[in-house]
Order: sequence, then C-alpha cells, then structure tokens
Amino acid sequence: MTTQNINGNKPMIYIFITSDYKDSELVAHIGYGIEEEGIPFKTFVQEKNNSQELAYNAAQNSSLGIGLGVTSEDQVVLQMAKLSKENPVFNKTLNSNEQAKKMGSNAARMVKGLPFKSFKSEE
Amino acid sequence: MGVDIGNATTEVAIGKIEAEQEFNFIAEGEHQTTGLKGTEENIKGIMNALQQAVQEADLKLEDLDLIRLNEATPVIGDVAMETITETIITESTMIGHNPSTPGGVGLGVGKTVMITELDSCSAGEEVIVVIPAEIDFAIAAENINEGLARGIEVNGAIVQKDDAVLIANRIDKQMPIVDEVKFIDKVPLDRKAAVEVASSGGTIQELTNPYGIATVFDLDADETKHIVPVARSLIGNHSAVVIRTPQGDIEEKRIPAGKIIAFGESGKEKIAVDQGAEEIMKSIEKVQPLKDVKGESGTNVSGMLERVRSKMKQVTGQNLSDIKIKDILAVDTFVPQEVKGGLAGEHSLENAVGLAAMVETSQLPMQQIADALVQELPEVEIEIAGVEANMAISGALTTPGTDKPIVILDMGGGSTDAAVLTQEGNIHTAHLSGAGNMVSMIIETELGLEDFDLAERIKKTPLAKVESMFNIRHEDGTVHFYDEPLAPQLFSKVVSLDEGELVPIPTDHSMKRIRQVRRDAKKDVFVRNAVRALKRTIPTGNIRDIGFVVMVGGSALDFEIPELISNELSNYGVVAGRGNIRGMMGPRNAVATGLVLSYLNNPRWN
Repeated sequence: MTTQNINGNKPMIYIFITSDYKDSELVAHIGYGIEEEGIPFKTFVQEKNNSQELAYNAAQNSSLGIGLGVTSEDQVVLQMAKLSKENPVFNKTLNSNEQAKKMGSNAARMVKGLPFKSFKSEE
Repeated sequence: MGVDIGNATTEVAIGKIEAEQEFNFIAEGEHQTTGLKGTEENIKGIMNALQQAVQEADLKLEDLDLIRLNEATPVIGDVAMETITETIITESTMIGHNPSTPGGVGLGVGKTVMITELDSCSAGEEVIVVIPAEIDFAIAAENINEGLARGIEVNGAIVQKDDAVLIANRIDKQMPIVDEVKFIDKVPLDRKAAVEVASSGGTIQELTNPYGIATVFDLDADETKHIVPVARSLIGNHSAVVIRTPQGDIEEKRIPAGKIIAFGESGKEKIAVDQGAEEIMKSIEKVQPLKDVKGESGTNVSGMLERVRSKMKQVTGQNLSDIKIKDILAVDTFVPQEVKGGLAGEHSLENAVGLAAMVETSQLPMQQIADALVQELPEVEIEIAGVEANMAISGALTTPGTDKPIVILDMGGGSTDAAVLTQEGNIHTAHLSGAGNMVSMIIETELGLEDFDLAERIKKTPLAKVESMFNIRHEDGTVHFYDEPLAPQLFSKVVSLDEGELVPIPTDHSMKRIRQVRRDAKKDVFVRNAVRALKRTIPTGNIRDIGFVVMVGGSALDFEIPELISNELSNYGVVAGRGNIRGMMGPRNAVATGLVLSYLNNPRWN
C-alpha cells in the first residue's frame, strides 16, 4: 500500500506539516490527542503548502493508512489511504488546542474503529 | 368506498360493483390519522386519503356513491413508565465510570491530595493525586515526578480531563490513573481512596470484590455488608475509584410507586407496582374480566391512569366516572438513570415497570364525524356501517389460504385487538392494551434515548454497524459495500437502515444490545398480547382449537413482529402470519375492504 517508507514499516499515524508549524502548540495538541488514545505517530516537515495534498501523502505513507496535513491558518486535513485527495475524512480550520486534541483523537479512533468525537465544545 | 379511521392511520378502499354481487376494488389510499381517533379533527386525514384514492382511480370525489365509515372500536390506550428503584451515593464514595482511555494499570491506595498541595506532603506518605482541568497534564506529570523524587508514595491519580494516558506516559512510576471525572471538585480530599485500572482487555478485580474493598479500607464485617452495592455497581468496569468517607454510603432504594387496584367481576385485587410486572399481570388475570382499574390516590400510577381517563373524556364527552379501564399490560424494564451524588455522571440501571392502560367507552362519536364529512362532500351519501371487528374479519378473510375458524390480531399503535370467527359463524372480540407505542416507550427508556422518534425508528428498522468508510455490517452479519466513502459522522456508528438511508443512532450502545432491547420489547408486548388475546377470544380458551391467525394493522407491517408471533404460535400448531388483504394489500386495508364487502350482504341500493 505504501509508496515509500519514511520510517520502516512500524504502524504509525503520520502528520505532515509545513515548516512554520514545527514548534506549533496546535500540532503538539494533535499529537496529545493521538497519544491519549495510545496510537504511535510521527511528524514530518514537508515542502508543499496544501493541506489536502499533505494529508493525502501522509496517509499514503502511513502503514496504518491514516495521515494528517497541517498548513497555514491552522487548516487541518485528516485523511485515510483509501479515500481520494479531494474527499478527505475531515478538512477543518481548528480554532483551539482542544479541537486539535480532538482531531488527533479522531485520527487514532479511526485506527481503533471507534466513533469520532464531536468537535463541539462540551461546555 | 370504505373508510377506516385507526389510532394511527386512516385507510380507504374504493370498490365498484361490476357484475351482480361482485366487487372490483379499484383504488386504495391511506393517510396518518389527524387528531385523536373519533374526533372531528379526523376529517383532514380522511379527505387526504380519499383524494389519494380517487386520484389513483382516475375519479373525482363527486363520483363516489357511498362512503361507509367504520364504527371504530372505542378503545384508547396510553403508556407510562414507573421507576421502582433508585441508587443514591451519599458523600460521594465511589466513581464507577468507564472512561475510554484510563492510564496505567493496577490498584493504588492512598489519601486524596490536590496536585497543587503535593508539596506539603512528607516522604513516605501514601497519596492519590487529584488533578482538575486547569492543571496542564505536562505540569501535573512534572509535579508527580517531583513528589516521587522526594519520596512521597504517589499511588494513583484522579483526573478531570481526558489526559490519563498522557500523564501515565510522562511519569516515572506505573500507577493507575482514572480520567474524565466530570465533577472533580466533589472528590473529597484528605480521605483514603483506592484507584484501580484493569490491564487492557480486562476488567477490574479488587474493587468489584467486597473483600477486596474491605482489605483496602480495613472494614469490619458489618461495614463490609454495607459496601456490597459499591462492589456490585463496579462489575464489568475497566477502571474505578472508591473513596471512603465517614458517613459515606451507597444504597439502592425501592421507590414506593403506588398500588394498582383492579376491580373484576369476581372480586378485587390490590397490588403494589414495585412488585414488578409478573405479579401485576397475575393479579389482573385473577379478577378477569376486568371492570375497572384504579391507582392509589396521590401516587404516580394513579396519575397515569387518570391521564388515560381524561383523554377519553375529551373524545367522548362522557363523565370521568363512566370511563373504565378495561385492560392493563405491565412489562418489567430497566431505566438507566444518573446516580444521585455521582462524580462522573455515572449511570446505574434501575428497575422500572412499564404500564399500558386501555379504556373502553360505550361508543365513539362517529356520527359527528359523518356529519362533518357531509359538509365536505354534500353529493356523497355517508353511512356508519358495521362493527370494526366484523369488518376486519371480513377483510382478513380475503387473505389467500385462510378459513374459519379464524382469529385476526389487529396490532396497532395503541391497542392490540382480537376477533375470532368460529366455525359456527359467531364472533367474539377482545381489546388489549399494549401495542406499538409501548414497544417504542420501552426502547426509549431502556436505551436512555429521551427521544421518542428515535425509539420509533429503532423499532421499525433493522440495524447495521458502519465498519469502515466503505462498508457496513448488517445485524444478521452480512456485509454491504459502498462505491462512495460514507460520511465521517457515520464512521464506526451503529445506524438504522431507513429505506436504504443510514441514520446514525447517537448512543454508545452496541448493535447487539440495541437489537436485544428491541426484540425483547416486541416479545414482551406483542407475543405476550397475542397469547393473551387468543386465550380470551377463543371460546374454549384453548389456542389449539383455532386454525388460522391473521395479523393485520400497522404493527403487522413490522419486519420482525409477525415472525416472533408466528414462532410462538407454531408451538400450538396454529397457522399464523401477516395478512395479505385481497391477496395484494399486505396487512393493511382490512377494515376498509370489509366495509366495502359487507355492503353486498346488506344492500340498501335503490
């Protein structure tokens, strides 16, 4: 399924980001969401600046078939390998760390086959 | 033309006399009954169904010669639920909820301490830290590590946010961490607490064992007896917290739900609702035939029974005292209810009794409807014809493969009506409470839906589980693939298949559980009522003496109710199945068809 293996064949969710997101809190919170669900993940900085493209590539490369792409203005796309580039699972502008964590959870829950968490705040 | 106004649906059938004594059915129509059956509000629904039928027959309303209205069975049913147990936690002694991702593993015991107060603990102290939402998990983990370094025995954590795994991954010692504790401010501090998290795939072992709890908290024999409900309520959980406070207690209380007083021809029976459905039904059977049922005044049961009565009063204009409750169906169920005093919004399953009651009056004001209909259709003759049961039998007998002696089971939304036509041509009827609406109510409460429409949908449609973005698995195990990816909000959800459309069911219940609740509810109401109805209508009282049972009415359209009943009745050697009126209408249109057919037996043609 994978075209190129960046990190061997370990089952992981891949997050592809642009360089300006290297130290982003938002991306960190996506990671926390994935970690809380107990799924390994790895973040890679990429050249391209198109979140759909990044997510698509991330999903294609992840041996779990799940990838996220983050680009400017907190645009986050969650993608799975079997879906087309134009029709990702989620394509969303995140407006809080809480939402970022949920996006991460949902990526992981996709792997676990659990229903997604709603992005709406619980309060 | 025959018009049948039912509790839920108004059905019409148009027949044309072609040859002598021979009807040709040319069109049918149906519409939701508008308003309560037997009121003038019904006119709107009748007119809609009529329009539909004449259009299908390519006629105009004026072309009709005669409209025959059914003399509707004057029964109205209502349903209610009474919770009869309640679980109360005083002084917040336990948290028995099931966060999806607790952290760490094992059993930890210690004194509850706010994470910010960890500094003031001394080395060697055994503690459980409490971490509210405003503390970031990274800082909490750091604080725990500092505490551990100072020699404080941090043995577990109780966390408000969904952070347990994040904290567990960042601390130097493995300890059980329970998260998503909603009301963390209610966790009593400076009390001895035990936190347990099961290993992955397992369930907790120590805190579900009364002696386990006794060991942790040094309880004596008497105290151990008291904590049994705590232990019991935690069974099956993956994580739990138990905190011991001086007055802390958890109790299961029985709520006095009142008594039902059944008046029969042969005496009177008084039965407390909290005895459960089995006992209530036994008492009702003892005093058959029922004359009336009352509730002990001032209790919930009496409130419910009075509601049914006053509804009937509205329809008929009769005095409250003249309206008698002629049947009751009680079913044992469970209601998930939030535990009073709980910390994490935990629920416990409480026992409840579902009640359906049915009233019978002398007659519904059908003449008023007929008069109002004349206003709408001045050119058409309108008459009220025939008792509903007779019409239904006449219609049901058009089902291919049927013969006398026959029983029809008319399973609607509000009541289950039965009529038997004996070999000799005698007709006996029975009206029983409990039908489709009661099934929906049971589904609604047992699954904690608080949404009647959703319960109706679950009742009416099979389930499936969305397994991936591309496939669903039906409840029978077969898999269906889609060309296009499914919507994300459906992912991994249990859905109902509404005419091919996938509608997610917004609960955490598994497909298996929802299916079980649905089927049990249908069995409890319809199979129970089918047997009750047969025993009452068949002159000998022996179900084996009947040859054919034809199921008609809205609930006979259900995808599994007829099967469930057929299954049960096959034990008695009875042919039972869904009716197929005129060999083409399915279980619908029996009464409307009967109204048209009966005209031939009684022609007033001039």
